[in-house]
Amino acid sequence: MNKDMLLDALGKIDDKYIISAQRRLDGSCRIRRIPRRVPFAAAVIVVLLMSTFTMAMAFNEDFRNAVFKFFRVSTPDQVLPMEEDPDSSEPIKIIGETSIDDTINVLYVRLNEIYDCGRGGIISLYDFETRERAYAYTITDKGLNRLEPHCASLEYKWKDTLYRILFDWYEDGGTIYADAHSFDPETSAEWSVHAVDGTSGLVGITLSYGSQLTYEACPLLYDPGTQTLYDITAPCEALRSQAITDISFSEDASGLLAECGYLDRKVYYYDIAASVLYSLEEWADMPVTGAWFIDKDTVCCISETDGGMTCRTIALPAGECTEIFSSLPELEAGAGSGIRFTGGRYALMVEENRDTYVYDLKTGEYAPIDGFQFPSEDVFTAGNEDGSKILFARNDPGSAGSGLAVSEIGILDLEKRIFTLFTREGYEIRQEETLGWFDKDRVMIQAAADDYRGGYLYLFTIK
Amino acid sequence: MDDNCIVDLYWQRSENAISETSAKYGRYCHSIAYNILANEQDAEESVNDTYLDAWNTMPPHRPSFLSTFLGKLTRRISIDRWRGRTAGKRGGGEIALAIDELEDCISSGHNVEREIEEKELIAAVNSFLARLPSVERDVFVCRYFFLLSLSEICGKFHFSQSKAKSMLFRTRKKLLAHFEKEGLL
Repeated sequence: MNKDMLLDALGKIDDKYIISAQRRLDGSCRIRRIPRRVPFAAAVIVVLLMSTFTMAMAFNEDFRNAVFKFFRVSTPDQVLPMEEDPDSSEPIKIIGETSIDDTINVLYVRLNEIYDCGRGGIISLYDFETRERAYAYTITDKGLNRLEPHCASLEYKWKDTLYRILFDWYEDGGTIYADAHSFDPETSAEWSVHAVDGTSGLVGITLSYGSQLTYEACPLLYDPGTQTLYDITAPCEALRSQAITDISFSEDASGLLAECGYLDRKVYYYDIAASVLYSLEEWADMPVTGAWFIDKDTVCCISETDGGMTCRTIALPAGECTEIFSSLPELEAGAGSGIRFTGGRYALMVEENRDTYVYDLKTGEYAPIDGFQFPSEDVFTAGNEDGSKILFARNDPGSAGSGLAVSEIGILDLEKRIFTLFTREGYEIRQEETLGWFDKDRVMIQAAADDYRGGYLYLFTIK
Repeated sequence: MDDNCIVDLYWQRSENAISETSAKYGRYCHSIAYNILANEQDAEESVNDTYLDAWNTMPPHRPSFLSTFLGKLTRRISIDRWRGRTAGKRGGGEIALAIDELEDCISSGHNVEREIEEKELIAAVNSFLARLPSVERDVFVCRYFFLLSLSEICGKFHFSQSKAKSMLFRTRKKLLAHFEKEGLL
C-alpha cells in the first residue's frame, strides 16, 4: 500500500460518512446546548444603547450595604512547565498540585485521550462498538475516582422514524454523568444525550431531524434507576404540534423551557408533571427574546428592543410576573455601562466609571463589589451550575502563544460575598482551548497536549 | 429540483440534466475541485468533466445519493488532473499536505509491502470509520475526502488549530493500528 492508493480509497468511502461530514460543513448539524464553557469571543452577545442604569435599578438598603469584598492574590499562578517524558500508560493522571498564597488550590491533570469534562466528571469519547475505552472519572480530594459504565440501549419511534439510542451512563454520589450523540445521514435523524443539570438523577434525551428551517426536536427523559423512558410532551398536543427548536430543563426536571418555530419564534414553559403548556409571552406580557431558569421556581425573561433590554421574572407555577428592570443595555467591551448576564440568577452591572455591582435578577436588588473596577476590554463571565459563584476571566490578546491565553481569573463567591482575583504566568506554554466551570466549585481550563496526543486539565479552587 | 428527478433526466437523456445538476450541485462540485487544484480554471474544467462523466454513467447507474456520487466523481477527476500536472507545477496546496499526513497511516516499519486489492482497502477504511466517534469521523472525512485545510476545519467545527491537529493525528495513528490489525500492512 502507498499514500496514493490510500488517498484514492478515501475517495470511495461509504456515502453516509460523506453526507454526515457535508452536513457539518453546511452548518446544519446543530449543537443544542448552551455551554457553560465558551471561548472569550462568544461572551459578548448583544450591544444596546442605554441611559444610566442606576436610574432603573431597584434599591434595597440591606443588600446594598452588604458589599462584596474584593481580594487580589499577589502571587500569580505559574503554569506547570512542559513535561519531558509524559507517562501515557494511564488514561488520566494527576501530575501536580499547588497552593497559591494559601488561597487558591490548583490541580494539574493530564488526559491521554479525548474527553468531555464537566459536572465534576470526565467522560471518555470512545469507540462504542468495542467499548475498549469506556470510562469516566471524577476528581475528589482523594484523587481520581474511576466510575463503572452502565449501558442503556433504548428504542423510540417519533415521526415515523425509529431511533436506536445506545449510550453509557455513570453515577457517583447521586450525580449522573452521560454524554452521547448520533446522527444517521440516511434519515437525517439525530439524537443526543446529556445528564440533566442539578440533582434530578435523570438523563435528558433529544430526538431530532432536519436542519435549519426544517429542524424539529422531541425531548425525552430517561430514569437510569428504573430504566424508564418518558416521552414527556406526548400528553400535550399544543406543544407536540409545534416545531421545538431548543430545550432546557429546570434543575429538578419538573419543567422545561421550549423554544418553538423560527420566523415567529415563541418560548414556552412546560409543566412536565401536569402536562400543561404556558406561553412566556403571555405571562411576561412582552415579546420574549430569551429565557432561562434562575432557579427551579423562577424563569427570567428578556425582551430586547431598540430602547434596551427589559427583564421580567416569572414565579412558577403561578406565573406571577415581576419587572426587574427595563431599558438597560447589555455590557459591551470598551467604554460604557450595562448589564452582563451569567446564565443564572445573578448578573454583573457596570457603571460608566467601571464600578461593578452584583445584580440579583430574582429580587432586583444589587450590591457593589467594593474596590473593584471592571476592565474596559472584553471579559468572560459565567455562572456556575447552582448559581452560587460567578467566574470572571480575562485573556491576554498580546500573548505570543495561540489559544485563550487566560491571564487573569476571578471567582465571585455569592454566598461568602468575596471576589477573589489572581493573575497567571506561563499561560502561553500550552494552547488553552476551553475555560469554564468543571463543577460548582472548580474552574477549569483545558489545554492541548504538548505532543498533540492528549490534553491537560487545570482545576482552580478558592479555599 | 428533487435528486430523483435529476437522475430521471439523465436516464431520459435530457440535456436539462446537466443544467439542473449545475444549478443544484455546481458550487458543491466546484468547492471540492478547488480544494484539490487551487486553480479556478482547472477547477472549472474538472467540474465540467464531472458532468460529462455523470452523463456517461447514468444510465445504467442510478445513484442512491446524487450529491455524494457527484462529489466522488469530482474528487477523482480533480486528483487525476492534479497528478497529471508535472511535478513542478503541482505546487503545495492541501492535497500535498494531506498526502504527506497519510504517510502516518501506512508507515508500519515493516520491510515487506503487502499487495492489497483496492476493494479490500476501501472495506477496511469503512469499517474503521464506522467505529469512530461521529465528530472525529466528520473531521477526518473533511480533511481527507473533501481535502479541507485545517483552518477551514477549525472554522466549521469551532476547534482551535491544535485541537484539530491533535484529533487528526490520533485518528491517523488509529487507522495505522487498524490496518495492522486487519493485516493490511
